[in-house]
Amino acid sequence: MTDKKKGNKDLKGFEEVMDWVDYDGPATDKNKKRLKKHDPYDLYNFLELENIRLQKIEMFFNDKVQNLSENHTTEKLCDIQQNQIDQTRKQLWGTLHANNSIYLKNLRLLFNKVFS
Amino acid sequence: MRVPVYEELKITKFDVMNVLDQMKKSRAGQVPCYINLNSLDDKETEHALQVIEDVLKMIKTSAFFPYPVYIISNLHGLETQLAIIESSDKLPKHFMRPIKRLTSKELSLLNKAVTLTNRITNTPLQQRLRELHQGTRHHKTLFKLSKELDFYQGIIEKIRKRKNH
Repeated sequence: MTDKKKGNKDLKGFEEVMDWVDYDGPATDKNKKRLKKHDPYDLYNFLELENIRLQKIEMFFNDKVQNLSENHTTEKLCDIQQNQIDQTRKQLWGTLHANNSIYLKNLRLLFNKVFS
Repeated sequence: MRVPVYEELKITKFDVMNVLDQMKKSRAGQVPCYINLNSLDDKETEHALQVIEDVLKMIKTSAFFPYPVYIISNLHGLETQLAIIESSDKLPKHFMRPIKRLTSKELSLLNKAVTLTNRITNTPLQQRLRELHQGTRHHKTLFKLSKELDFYQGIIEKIRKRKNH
């Protein structure tokens, strides 16, 4: 009896959590379900998660998307890329059609082989 | 103020006025909700989906933000922008919570959630989504152009290496 009382004193402050524990044996599926049902912080945790989720959505639409539409740089980047493509094409054309280019040499070889 | 847990919209008649009335009553978009269309046949389901989409546009509510509106139907290949789920068991578990009396801390969190929900609802979501789609289109164009440029530069590099050999 005295041991029990002493044990109770040691566990002071944990009374709230005490009834979650099943002293009858290892946790079975049934017990787990019961523990889940009694979780007092379930709703609190849910509301906290919900606030984080809503904050992220709000920030995404009001800051990020708005910023994207107001200061979009992609169109300018597309223009720069198109200019570079034009220049590279010209460079490639010049390289391929130079008198001593490998492309023309190979083409010459091919024609000579086929038509000679 | 309601805890944002699932609410079933029980709509029997799918005409615009009735659906509009039901949605306003249940505050669709302010809490997650679902509409069960399993009792309807193909044509009726298509008509119901069209009406629901129209009503959501009318009340300027997004079917996804801040809270989703799910449609429960076991028909496949339906042409709609709404989220369709086979049965109520397959709804996301996040909003499945037992309702109980709230403590003061929970109530303050709920207040914050309601404020955030209102802020999202007051945002012109359709416009923002349009802007987002436009942005993605530009990104795709940029990707294509970069790929083309990389291809040409690769050829020039190969020719240069060949020459040096």
